Amino acid sequence: MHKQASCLYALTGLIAVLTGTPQLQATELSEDDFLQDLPVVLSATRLVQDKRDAPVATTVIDREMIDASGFTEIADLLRYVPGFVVNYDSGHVQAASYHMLNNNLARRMQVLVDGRSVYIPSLLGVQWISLGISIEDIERIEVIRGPNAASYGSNSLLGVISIITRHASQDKGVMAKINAGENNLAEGFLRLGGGSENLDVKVTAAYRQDAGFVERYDSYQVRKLNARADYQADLNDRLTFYATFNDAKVQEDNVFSRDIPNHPANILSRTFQMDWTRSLSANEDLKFQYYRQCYGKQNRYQHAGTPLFIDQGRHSERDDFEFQHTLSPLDNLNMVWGAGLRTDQVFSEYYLGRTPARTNRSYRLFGSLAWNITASTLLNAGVMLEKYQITTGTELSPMLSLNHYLTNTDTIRVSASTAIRSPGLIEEYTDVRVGGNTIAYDAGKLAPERILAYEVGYLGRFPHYRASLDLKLYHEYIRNLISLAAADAAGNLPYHFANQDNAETQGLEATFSFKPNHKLRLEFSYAHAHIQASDVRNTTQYTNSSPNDSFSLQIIQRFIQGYQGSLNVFYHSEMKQLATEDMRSANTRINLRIGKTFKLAGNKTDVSFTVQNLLNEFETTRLKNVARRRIYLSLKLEFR
Amino acid sequence: MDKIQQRFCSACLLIFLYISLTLSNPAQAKDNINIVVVLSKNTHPYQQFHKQLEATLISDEQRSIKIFVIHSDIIESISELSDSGINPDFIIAAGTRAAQELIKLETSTPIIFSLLPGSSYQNNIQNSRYCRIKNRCSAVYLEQPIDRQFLIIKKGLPDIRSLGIILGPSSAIMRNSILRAEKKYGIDVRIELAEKGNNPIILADSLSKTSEALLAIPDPDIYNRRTAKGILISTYKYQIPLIGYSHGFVHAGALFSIYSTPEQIASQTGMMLMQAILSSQKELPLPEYPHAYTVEINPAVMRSLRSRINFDKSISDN
Repeated sequence: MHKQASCLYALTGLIAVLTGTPQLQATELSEDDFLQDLPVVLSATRLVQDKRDAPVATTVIDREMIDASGFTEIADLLRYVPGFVVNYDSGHVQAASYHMLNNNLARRMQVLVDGRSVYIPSLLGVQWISLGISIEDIERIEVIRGPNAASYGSNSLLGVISIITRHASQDKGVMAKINAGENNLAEGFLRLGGGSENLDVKVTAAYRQDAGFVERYDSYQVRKLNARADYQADLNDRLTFYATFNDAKVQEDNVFSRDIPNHPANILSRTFQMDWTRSLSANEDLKFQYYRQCYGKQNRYQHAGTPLFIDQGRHSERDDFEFQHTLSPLDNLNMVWGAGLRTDQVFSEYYLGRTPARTNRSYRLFGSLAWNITASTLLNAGVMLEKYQITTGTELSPMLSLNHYLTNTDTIRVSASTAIRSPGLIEEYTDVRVGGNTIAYDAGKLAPERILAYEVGYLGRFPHYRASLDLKLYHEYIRNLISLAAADAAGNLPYHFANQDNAETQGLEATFSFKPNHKLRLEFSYAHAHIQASDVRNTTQYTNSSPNDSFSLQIIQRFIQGYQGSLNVFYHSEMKQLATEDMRSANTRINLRIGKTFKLAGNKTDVSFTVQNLLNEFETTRLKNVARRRIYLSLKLEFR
Repeated sequence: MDKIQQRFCSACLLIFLYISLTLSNPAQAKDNINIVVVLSKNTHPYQQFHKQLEATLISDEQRSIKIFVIHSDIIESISELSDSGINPDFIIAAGTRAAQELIKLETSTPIIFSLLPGSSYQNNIQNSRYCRIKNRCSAVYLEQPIDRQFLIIKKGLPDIRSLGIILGPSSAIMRNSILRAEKKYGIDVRIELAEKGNNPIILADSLSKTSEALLAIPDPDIYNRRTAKGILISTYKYQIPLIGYSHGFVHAGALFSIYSTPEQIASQTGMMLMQAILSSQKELPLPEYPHAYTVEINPAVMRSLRSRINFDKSISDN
């Protein structure tokens, strides 16, 4: 493993040597500069849909917000999105979810990195420390707040988080950054970028170590390496390659069971992705995408007080191919359609009761259109058709929205959308036995979870004040929620997965953005939610799984001489943590960051001082995740 | 102005020229005028230029205009023409390469340097030994005057209050014109002067952050095939439009471009030549910026940025 990492780190240096940085020279202007063709950059698939035209509410966390946030973990950035709650299951397992069902693995959301789903089949969710990218690699995060299976497929149940990394042409030269602070925080990044006329390449190596929570055995070290190459084959053909390597060494404990001792675990993940985009015209693209994801976790320990060794290791592989055709056949009509094929394989003797893999092959066909029926009315309609090998039937997820522009600056939106979450292989084929006892068994076919969401939205822009307001009223119905069912009412073994719960959420969300000038920026979001739930066990476990009220506030101020300050405030009212059913008290968290940008020997240099959790407010649940105030320093150097 | 109007105007002009020629030389014998057109390359834009020039230079009862085209071995080809008894009355150079070759000529033939940037003419041609003789040289530039660009931006995007501009080694000379236009049109201009070692993509990123649009001023060290992609991506990142100066730019992803096509430049060159032919001394007028231009819009970008351009579609002003 280490040898593999060393080779990849060496590759970083090699690419840096092979590539260069565009430097300025004096060249004579000629008519060629006026007459030459340039590669199509803004292809139809790269178009960002304006918020006014989006079928459901969206939030964008851009690079400036990320830099000013004071966060070092990607999942924490989702605190800026109204309706999101970010919690920690342990020092290295973040729980981020939208509206409710605050599960520790983002099981009911689609999380994409550069269009590639990072859902791990053997985990039934997303592991944020294993994304293979660092916070420094991110250009922006687009969050679609609501189901949108018609565009993003299965798992887009509660929302879609789309992480977009920086284009290789944006990161030329060398960037080195270190963060060091309390609680054994040490982070290092090294990015090298260069290229030629048609090729842009960048490679980032990163390391992070963190002591986790003081009262937990949950420290971790992560080594990451990722590369991105953008190759313009000709004026209309673009190839993009991505590769990530992520090696995490974590400490694991179990605060609820003395049978599980503190023990180390290793997590290794790798991905490769290739996108080919052919621009047929400024309004028409063909895109082919293939990616492969491999994930493995070694997790072996001795059952306390017994000679029994438990191996909870798991390994999974995912291969995905998608074709997409984006076109604009009429001035007032944009369309996209496509098809995809995916194969998931999960290996885990512990969870599946056998060594050979369980496989789930799925097929999807999708299409959507945005049609300006009149100059002031836009219709968005879409549908996703999915077929899974392990479930019966074909799943259809339609979406419909109508956006009406009241004026040039005011838009109202009504929408209805649906999505499903297909059961995972471990839910469908679970078979856990320890020491001859059955812990969990396969109780038969599971149905997909399904959501139906209604939304009424208002988007107002106030150009005179450089401000905008986004409001959303929603009502969501979720059926067939899958959860573990016990053998009897007392919760005795064995367990099995079953479709046993329904839930309903309604609420209001608001975001307000104010940028009076390029020195001051204010972003505020607020969410109010009310959950009604029913389940066969009458535990109403989902009822409080989202706080009734939450908000975030970010103020960024640039001062003279390159100084910059930012204040970040996050609040949520009391809520239940779904994983443990513990009640979490209301919490306010404040991050404060002060930074300065200056030139050092002609190179851009940033230094910053950050205080996380300024008020030192922390929770005292059974998980003992006591996150005290932390101060860290950061130094970033860019050699272009 | 639509195509019918354009043709109508061209026809009127030709009729006017015809009448002028008829009235001015009623009893003269027919003149033979030899025009040598030198193309820098024999590619599509130059062929379009040549085709349109031929369409503009029409013989009449007083004058017979013969056009000879050269696109390689320029000096030798002109010598060969002279050897065969064809002495050019005027030469039209299309492009920079042709211009640089022609100033080496030992003749005194008036030359119109066309289809080339103003800076190229002013730096390398205007003060050459060949052009020091008064009225021997003139030019039709390829780029748009700054004033026109600001006027179109003001008209097309009236809400734009700040404009980012990167100037490099070739375009730094435009700074004063830009500052004058800033005052005249009331648009706050933020200029980044690129120095050696600067990465234009980084400058574009920084300007995009603080401006409401980016105006590309032609400069090969700032805008080229290697940097255009990164610069456009920077503008998309901040959701601001880039205003380009060529068809290539608008095709790649600029919101719109203001430029003159080779045909438009050829028509103007033809008119300039006819004016010289008509003048008693056969003198060339002063160099000119293009009169006719095109504003080409990228509808996909317009939709994406939700820009409201006060033109219904791409326009040509001839």
